[in-house]
Amino acid sequence: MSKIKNSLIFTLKYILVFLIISMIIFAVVRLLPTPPTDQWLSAYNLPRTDENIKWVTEKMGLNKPIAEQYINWIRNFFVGDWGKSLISNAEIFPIFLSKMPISLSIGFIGTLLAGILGFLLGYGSAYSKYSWCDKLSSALVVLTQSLPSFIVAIIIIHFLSIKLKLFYFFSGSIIAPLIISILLTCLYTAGGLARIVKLAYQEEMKKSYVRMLVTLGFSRSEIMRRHILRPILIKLLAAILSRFAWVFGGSTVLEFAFAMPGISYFLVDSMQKSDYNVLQTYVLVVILWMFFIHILLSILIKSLDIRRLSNEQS
Amino acid sequence: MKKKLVFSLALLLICSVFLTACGNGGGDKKESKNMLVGITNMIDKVDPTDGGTPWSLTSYGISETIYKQNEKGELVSRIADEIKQDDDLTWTLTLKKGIKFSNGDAVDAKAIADSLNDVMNGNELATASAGKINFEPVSDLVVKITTERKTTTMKAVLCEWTNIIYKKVGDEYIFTGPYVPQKLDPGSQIELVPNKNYDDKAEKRPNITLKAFKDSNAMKQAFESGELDMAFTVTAEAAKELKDADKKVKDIDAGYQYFAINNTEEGPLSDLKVREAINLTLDREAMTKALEGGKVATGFFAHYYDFAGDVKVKTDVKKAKKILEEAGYTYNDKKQLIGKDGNQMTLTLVTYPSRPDLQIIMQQVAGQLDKIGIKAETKIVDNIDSFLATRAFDIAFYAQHTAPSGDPLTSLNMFFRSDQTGKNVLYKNPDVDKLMDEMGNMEPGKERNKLAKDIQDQVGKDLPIFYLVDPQWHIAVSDALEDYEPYCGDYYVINDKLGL
Repeated sequence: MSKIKNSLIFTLKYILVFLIISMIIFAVVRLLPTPPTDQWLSAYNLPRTDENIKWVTEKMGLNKPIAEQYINWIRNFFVGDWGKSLISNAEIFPIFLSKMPISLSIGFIGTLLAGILGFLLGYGSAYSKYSWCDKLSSALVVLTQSLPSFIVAIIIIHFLSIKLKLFYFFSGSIIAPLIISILLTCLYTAGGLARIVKLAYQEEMKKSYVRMLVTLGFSRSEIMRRHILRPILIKLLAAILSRFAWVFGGSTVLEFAFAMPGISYFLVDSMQKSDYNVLQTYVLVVILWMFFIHILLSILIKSLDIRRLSNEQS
Repeated sequence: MKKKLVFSLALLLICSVFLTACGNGGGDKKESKNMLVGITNMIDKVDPTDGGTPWSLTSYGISETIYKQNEKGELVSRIADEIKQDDDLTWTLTLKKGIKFSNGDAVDAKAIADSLNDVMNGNELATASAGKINFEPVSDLVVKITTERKTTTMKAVLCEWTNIIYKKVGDEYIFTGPYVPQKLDPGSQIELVPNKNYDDKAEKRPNITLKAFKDSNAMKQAFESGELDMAFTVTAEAAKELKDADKKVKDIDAGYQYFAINNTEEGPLSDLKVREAINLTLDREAMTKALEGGKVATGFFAHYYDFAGDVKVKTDVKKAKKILEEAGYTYNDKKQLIGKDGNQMTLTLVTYPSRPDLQIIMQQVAGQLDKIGIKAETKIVDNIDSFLATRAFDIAFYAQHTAPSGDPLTSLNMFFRSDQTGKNVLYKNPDVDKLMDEMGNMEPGKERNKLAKDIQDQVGKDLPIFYLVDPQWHIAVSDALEDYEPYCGDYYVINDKLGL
């Protein structure tokens, strides 16, 4: 009963967050300096006469009362009608559907791989100070802080494609640029996660129950692999949760560098054109995405619940 | 554990490299009959009645207007045999025999009438020149055209980018251009195959994929790696680098004009003498050098048009200073020009990001103004047209294709007519209005062209704008397209000569 109650509260909280943020984003995009009507007229070299502005405003449906625009938009969103781009008049839902897989692949798989790599490096760093794992994870952190991924992508293209002619990133299959982007996302995230894992292990190793396990003769590796693994994984999952929020936007620079038709590519174009409908939809999609990720990781964390571990130990 | 760790990492690395190699490795990247062209923008859907999509469809070689411009800016037609004016509001258009849509259907009078009536009803932008136009098939190959407003340049109207020829078969749109769209990835790329019903050279044309690059550096790298057959367009800086690396880079006439719009209502440029002085200070040759190409502008239209202007301005800083001094402006010890407020004259220069050349020109001008003691503050704005309406600028750098339909009057009206609402240029001259009215009643020809030149001459004296550069754009081409020439700027990027 309490589980159902908690799930209900969780869902209601998200619905409330969803609605509040939808109102905020609806208002915020309308504060953009240049309205989509002006962008549209400029794009087609039309003068900003009162007549033209009125015609375009009506064409975009922006002449309706604000409340009516909001209600129509949010109601249609829930039934899968995400409206049309104000600039190109194309349906937004199919565009998102066709472009999201690329951005999701880069962000989701890259972050997942980063979690695995981060754990392995963090484990190695915690197990043996100044080991190659420790040095590698430090190097990754320094590299990612000092060198933007865009620059690394350009360097990779320059050497692998232009100089050595080993790969073609812009023609043919999208696999090569996708793999490189996933690997770059992984490398740019793994360093930070490795440091979190290392610190988590170091903190956990100081606890009294771990000292007791050492006294009882358990080896360091066994303690790290079995007895204190769950709390470490919980901390790692919590760290990864926040990184999943960047799954869509985080791949922007890589999509630009490799000219990949992901959602970020489309989004930046829409921002430049003040395309209200696309920008609003994007924010809601991110909220929905985080909702599902939150559920997934909550289930995983629950299965690693440390209170159960404590009960088992006692 | 350590061994397992090392093993896991090594496995991860090997898998990644393997998967990457599985993608597309080196060797032949594509068949020789397929070409990849890089452009900067891509449509979201193939809808000829929607907004600005017709421009792109013609640009991609998919659609045609009845009349189009050739490389010299002359209006020619593959579809029409002749057109003649019956009275102020009526024309007769006779079509050529044997012209077909890409599906083999005949382009006859009914098809033309249906198509263009659809355009008139579906796209408000199409009614700008002559009001709503009605097309009526009189016989198989004859169309009667009735306009709402008088026009003497029906060829130019039929060349306007909104007025493309198409028909709808089921859910699909069929066109008449040299290429047929096969697959569109909205906003990203489109695959084209030759239209077999275009002419007898269709089999010689290659398949084409047009791919959008939002990042100019990515396009440059794609070209350097040998993946692109044409990069349309590359920046001046990239053009120089590619030329230095012995790559083929062509400089094509853009058809656009780069000019500066002056705030003649408020601020220092409301004084004609200040405008004259600045006009003499501007070093346009330096601008063309910085842009790695182009010519000094002599008017409001590209040099290859018969109606292009003959305005000549020489850089003369001494004369500029003299004009300012005679107008009552003074210099302080630091050679700064003192404005009417007693401080150094400071001008706000503004432009927008979508035309990188304009930013180069703006920086050039900022440095040149220093020679006559004027300080410049530069600004990049999101949308130049709405910013101009605020009047919070002194000089705005602007780019425009001033004759996309091969006729000068549309742009002259849009920018220089006194009572034209919503225009960007702050200019009123009844004499110029009269010249434009006269042009509106004349047929295309030498006399009409002379009036266009006279207008440009007067504008060159009144200086609501500064003519700056008749630009060239840079396109990088592979060996396969060494002899190919797109023309009219970004309007006929893929034309029927590609690959032949």
